[in-house]
Amino acid sequence: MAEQNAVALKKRKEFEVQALPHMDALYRTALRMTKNEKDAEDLVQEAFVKAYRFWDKFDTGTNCRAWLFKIMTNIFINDYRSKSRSPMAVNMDDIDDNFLYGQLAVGSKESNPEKDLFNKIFDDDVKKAIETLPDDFRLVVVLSFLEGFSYQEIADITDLQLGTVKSRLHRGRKLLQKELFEYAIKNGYVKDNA
Amino acid sequence: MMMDCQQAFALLQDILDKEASQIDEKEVRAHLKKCGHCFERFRVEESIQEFLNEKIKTSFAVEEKSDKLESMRLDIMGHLDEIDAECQESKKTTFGSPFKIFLSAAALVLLASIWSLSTGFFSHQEYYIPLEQAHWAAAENSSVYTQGFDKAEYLGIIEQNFNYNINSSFDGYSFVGAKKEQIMGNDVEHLIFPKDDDCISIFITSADTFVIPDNIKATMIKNSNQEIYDHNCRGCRLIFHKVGSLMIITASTNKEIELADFIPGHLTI
Repeated sequence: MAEQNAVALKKRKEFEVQALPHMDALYRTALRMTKNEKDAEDLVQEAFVKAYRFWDKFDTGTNCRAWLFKIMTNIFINDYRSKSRSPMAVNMDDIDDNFLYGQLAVGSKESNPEKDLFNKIFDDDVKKAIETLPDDFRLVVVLSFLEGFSYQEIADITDLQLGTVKSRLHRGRKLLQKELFEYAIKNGYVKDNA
Repeated sequence: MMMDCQQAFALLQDILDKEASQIDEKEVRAHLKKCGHCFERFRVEESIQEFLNEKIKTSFAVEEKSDKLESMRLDIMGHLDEIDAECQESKKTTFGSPFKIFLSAAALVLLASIWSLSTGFFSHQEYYIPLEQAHWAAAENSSVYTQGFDKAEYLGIIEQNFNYNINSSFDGYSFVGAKKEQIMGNDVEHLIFPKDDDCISIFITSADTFVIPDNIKATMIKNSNQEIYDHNCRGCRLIFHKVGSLMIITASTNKEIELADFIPGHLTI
């Protein structure tokens, strides 16, 4: 019995040292995925409970952070993702690769034309733009831009093909740029070359 | 061969996502120095990306208060306590009633599904971890490789067995020792090239048995008379060169080194 206790204690200790420190990162990603604090909190708790139950399946020495993100992403996709998998509201073909770059007065005497635009985009605009991204896109964008996971790590976490990860990131980036440009216009940004 | 605008543009996304290989990145930067249009384009795109990376952090930050995180941590600890208590409980009782058998069967099914999930996940990462570990171990304790080592004799054996001629130094890194190891079920010759506090490992094995999985092939960065794959993992960089029937892998923890340029030798036939 004492031996069992020692094993259990060791497991608990390991988990606290290796897994728990990733809570902040999981929460900030959860917040952007679920778009509200309550769901984000529940999602993170569920992820840790599941991770702890299956801690003996985790291969020590491998990437614990990615493993936890995979568990959380799975729960998110199965239980939290918007139930209506509505088709893309935006027609991606409308946004060309040069969208934002083309909108900036590049080549004008202004040396950093994008700085002007950034000044017209407020934190809340960025938050809204990210929240407006369709779930599938927001997920890979957050994992890449916020958490710095590589294409391969994101592919592992989301069970997507590497090429799909890449194309979703590309399209997510273009969608964000388009949204932000529209906010900037609303906030009074005027194109020099308009 | 200089890169043209179209080739540079094709690598824009990889560069923004920090996924471009060292070689590609170097070539793109060389192109940008020569091409004002592309320079401006990359500058603006990188500036937008920086803005987004920064804003995606800060624009939600209000909600990430530390007392909130602390109370979450406590809640999670509470859940862990419950699970611990459950485990103690289940060890005391013995399975017997049909209901408990049903429960344990359900748990097994759940376990099996999680197991398949976890094994699928790390397959490619697990694949290379033994190489990283071998490299780290050698860098920490090189004497195992150098003690009683006859360099000339060893190079002769490698040349004879593999038809491969090893360069005994590269850019200040010199070959000082080696030994045969079993890594991932393959017979691997592990050579070490230290320089000051730094060390590069070279692994030589048969390309027939050491197979690079298809998903890793997506990271192939050059294909001339060699196939080179760049695999950046957990602080240890691995580059795979397929040369004839040999798989030659270089490993380094120093990311400053142009590891892809570190060609350890050449085929003799």
